[in-house]
Amino acid sequence: MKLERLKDLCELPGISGFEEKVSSFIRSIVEPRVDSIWTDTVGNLIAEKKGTGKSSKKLMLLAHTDEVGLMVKKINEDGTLSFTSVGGVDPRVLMGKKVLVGKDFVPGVIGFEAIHTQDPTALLKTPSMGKLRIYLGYSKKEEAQKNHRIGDPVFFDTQYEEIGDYAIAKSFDDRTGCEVLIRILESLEGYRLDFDVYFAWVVQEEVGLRGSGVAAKQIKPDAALVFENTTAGDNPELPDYRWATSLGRGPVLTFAHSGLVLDKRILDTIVDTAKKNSIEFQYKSRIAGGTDAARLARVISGIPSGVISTPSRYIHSPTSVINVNDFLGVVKLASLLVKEGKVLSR
Amino acid sequence: MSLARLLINLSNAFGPVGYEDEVHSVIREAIGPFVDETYTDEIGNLIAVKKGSGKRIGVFTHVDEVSLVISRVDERGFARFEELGGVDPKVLISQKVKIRSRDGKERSGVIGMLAPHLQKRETRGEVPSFDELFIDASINPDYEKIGVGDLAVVDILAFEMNGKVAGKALDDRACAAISIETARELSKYSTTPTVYFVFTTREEVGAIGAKGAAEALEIDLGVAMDVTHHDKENDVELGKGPALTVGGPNIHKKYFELLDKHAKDNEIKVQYDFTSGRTGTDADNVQIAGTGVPTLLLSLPEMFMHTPVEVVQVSDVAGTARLLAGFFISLKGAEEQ
Repeated sequence: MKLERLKDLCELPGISGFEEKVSSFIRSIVEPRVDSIWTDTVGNLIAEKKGTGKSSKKLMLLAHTDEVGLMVKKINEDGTLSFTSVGGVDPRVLMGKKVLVGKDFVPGVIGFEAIHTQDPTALLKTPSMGKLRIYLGYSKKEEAQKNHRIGDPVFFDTQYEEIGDYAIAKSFDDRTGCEVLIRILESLEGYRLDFDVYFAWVVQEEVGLRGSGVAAKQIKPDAALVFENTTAGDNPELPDYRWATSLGRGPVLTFAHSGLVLDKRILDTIVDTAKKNSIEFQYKSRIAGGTDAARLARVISGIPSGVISTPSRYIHSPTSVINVNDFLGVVKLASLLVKEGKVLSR
Repeated sequence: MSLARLLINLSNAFGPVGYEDEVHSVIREAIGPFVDETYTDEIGNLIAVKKGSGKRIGVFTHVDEVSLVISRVDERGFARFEELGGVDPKVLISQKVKIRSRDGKERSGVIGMLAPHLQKRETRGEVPSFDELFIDASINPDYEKIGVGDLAVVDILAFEMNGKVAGKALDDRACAAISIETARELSKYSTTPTVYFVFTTREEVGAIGAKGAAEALEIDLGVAMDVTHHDKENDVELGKGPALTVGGPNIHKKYFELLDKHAKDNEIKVQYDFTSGRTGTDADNVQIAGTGVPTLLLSLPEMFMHTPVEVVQVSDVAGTARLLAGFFISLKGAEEQ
């Protein structure tokens, strides 16, 4: 296993609003390495690494702790649970899966009617999320009610796996970003930067960029770097000119995405740094999807930021795939950017 | 080993149609202490023999599972595939799979689909068909070793929940567990009929294995077991015991009455299933083997058949084994039918 801690991070359950396990895992690792650390009202974990004081500038590094998942909407008479999605989940990735329900992580299945008895004309129609059910082995509503209630979180249950240069897991989005931040911090061991660096592991990105703004207002940074996991699209459905990114071609740099054109000076700094250090990188060539950078641009007087991502196939599904080298490229580029501090000098 | 654990181990074993070896080793280990002999026949059935006197009985359960077969691998390592046995494309998306290639090695893959961010609105209502689905095998450093004809199954681990077990291949390995349990029950008796527990190959593509075995064994009674749909409307439910198939030209009437009476006399829970023609199970081939074999069919209720999360109830498995063992013992000395 090349990325032991990324495995731990990805296997932790943490849908939007239920990120505590992820945050406390990260806190336990980073606390000894920072000058101060706190968890704020909404659940963001923020850590401060003080500089020498020569510069009054502040750099914010950000990744989100939440992942997409489901939530119990109704307990049915037959003891099954109806649910809705938390964040963007396609109903087509849900059938025939094991899930974990509630704070006690009770295992259940999202089954589907056997092919033998289905209406053949509906075989290739996407069922609505409202028609799918979680079955936990209960046969009556009362049995289910003993252990569950509406609002219970539902988590995908995928074991992290590495094969050669690739890894499969449920929540690379955005546990890769979470791990990048931890690795940057580790790379700063013995370093004293002139400026203060703030690490923010923020909540609720997947339900509308809810956590990042709150974190930024506590930090008031001069610039931010957002570490994300972004969609690839380099699978057979699309011709290569429609791919957003591609696995194995290095860190993904974003010039614009949903709701934001990114700060050109920061983007240029990132590109220069990558080139100077011979780090292979790629641009995200579709603007679909957004990141917390869009929120940061809208808080205080607007925080300029850069976005660097690890690309992922089948993002927002229980079985996303990354190339480990892309992730390591992000870590390398990120550590250089922080140490050089040029993203702050404009 | 608990019965739930046995069900989990059987379901987890890799055993696509015609390649059931790994399942055989789980069964050999579990049934070995309770039978006199186990062997594999020419076509690939595993047969465990409990020697006795009087009637010769064959018990048929299939141990293959619905599978995928690779039809093409492109230069980047994306593989196309077809299904062996009825598979709903809807339950395949976003599954991990295990592929066994000709070099004997297992490789991994993911059945992917374009992320929602990149999909067109018009196609969101459609599920990709087998023409569009693919296995992303590019993640294997040596994906070029994967070839046409390699077999794959969904890679998902079975687990217990509330007295049930969920897994990918409980059709029909939950019934194989019944056979193993029946052998264990029979081992408590000093004299039993001769029972051949036949773990059949290739049921999912037309009940091929059962045919040869039933011809060769020259049995007086054949009992096939398979799963049936949990279906409240048709009064077949998990937790209410095996469904005895009643009526229908496939089922021997006198033996059915004996079995049903044995269940009632011994207060073993049963329910009834009905098939008006062929049953679509190993029972079809057993009945017409040799000069004809009196045949029964016991069906284990199952939810979500042919999905990676099939569900059976452990107590149904145990109850069916008790019923069968007792029934076989009761046949000893019973008059010739």
